[in-house]
Amino acid sequence: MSDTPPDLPTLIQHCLTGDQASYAQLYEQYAAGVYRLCYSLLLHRQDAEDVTQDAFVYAFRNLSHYDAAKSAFKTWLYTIAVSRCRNQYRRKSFFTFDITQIFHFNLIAPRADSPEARMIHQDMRTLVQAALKDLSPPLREAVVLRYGHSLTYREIAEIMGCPPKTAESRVRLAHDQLRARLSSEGRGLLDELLQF
Amino acid sequence: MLTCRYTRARLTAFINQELPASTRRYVARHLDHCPACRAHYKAQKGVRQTLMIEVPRLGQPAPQTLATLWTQITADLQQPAPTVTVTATRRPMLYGIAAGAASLMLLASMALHWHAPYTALSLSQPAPLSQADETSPALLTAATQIAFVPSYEALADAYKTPEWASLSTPEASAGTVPASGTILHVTPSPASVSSR
Repeated sequence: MSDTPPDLPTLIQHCLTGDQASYAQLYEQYAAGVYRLCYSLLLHRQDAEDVTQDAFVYAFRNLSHYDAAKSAFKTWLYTIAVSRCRNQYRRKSFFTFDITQIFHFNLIAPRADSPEARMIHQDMRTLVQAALKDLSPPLREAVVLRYGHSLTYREIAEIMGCPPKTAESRVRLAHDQLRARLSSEGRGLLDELLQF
Repeated sequence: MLTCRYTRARLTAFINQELPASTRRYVARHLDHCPACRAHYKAQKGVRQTLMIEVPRLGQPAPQTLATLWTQITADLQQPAPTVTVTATRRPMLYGIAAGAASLMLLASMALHWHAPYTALSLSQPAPLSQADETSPALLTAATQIAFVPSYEALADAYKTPEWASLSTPEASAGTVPASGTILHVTPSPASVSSR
């Protein structure tokens, strides 16, 4: 066995033969991204954990249905996660606050920042989170996939199940709404943040 | 202004460097000369920078969270995949009964409305003029008089005139009820007119 990690198609092939280590490797590669995506869309820690778990279980069980010719594995996995997030906010119909977020428990600090910068980042994160929460689900999905995961409009469109032009206009609309919200409430914070 | 609106609609794409070269040049030239649009551009750029920094940081999972999730995922994968069984419930039957009842009610109301005009005609409408003897001048005079219904006061005044006696009929004087559909000159009794 070589030390270099196998490429994705090989890894998937190994998974399909029932190799547990390959499943673990695939999970390690994508878990953080899927969790971040779920959290950014649901803005609730426990829900994000549940949906991540559900998405991975579904993806691993249906790995034989994945077609590399149709889409990238990341896009396929994100499509599953977004679909489950949609089910979740349909079930809830309104968002609940995560108390750990309100009181800033267990927040990961920005790397190598001064305490002052950390405070500003925390405040800004709370503000961004509140602004994201006010967006409609399609706009939030578009902006999170664009800025949170640096996906192209084509990939966003594939995940959201819409034409690329629609994905683009959703990002623009979300951007306009966030600007209105952040400019009115976070002007000072924004200026301070940009200094660091 | 049209140019300002055009520019602002393309600001997000301009900032994300997604515009074709010609449009990009046009927007850039406008921004050089329009302070209001330049202010918008600066705000948009600040928001983009904030989103690029803050959205990827949202929901950064702690390593132990991902480890716990992996344990749960492997446990889920050990279980047999849930099979979706379609069981016949009583609900479709209830829907069928409700739909049948609604259809019956609709049909019944349609049937009532279908017969209602004939019933009304036979009970309250006089015979059409075309079926009667249109050549009779007496009948035409009677029809004209029926079209104008006099008030009781007018009848009382008419009663006092000498022509009244020639208009009254033996049936009306005797107080008998004529057959339906016959055209009559009703002669009220002096007592009933004075009581009004």
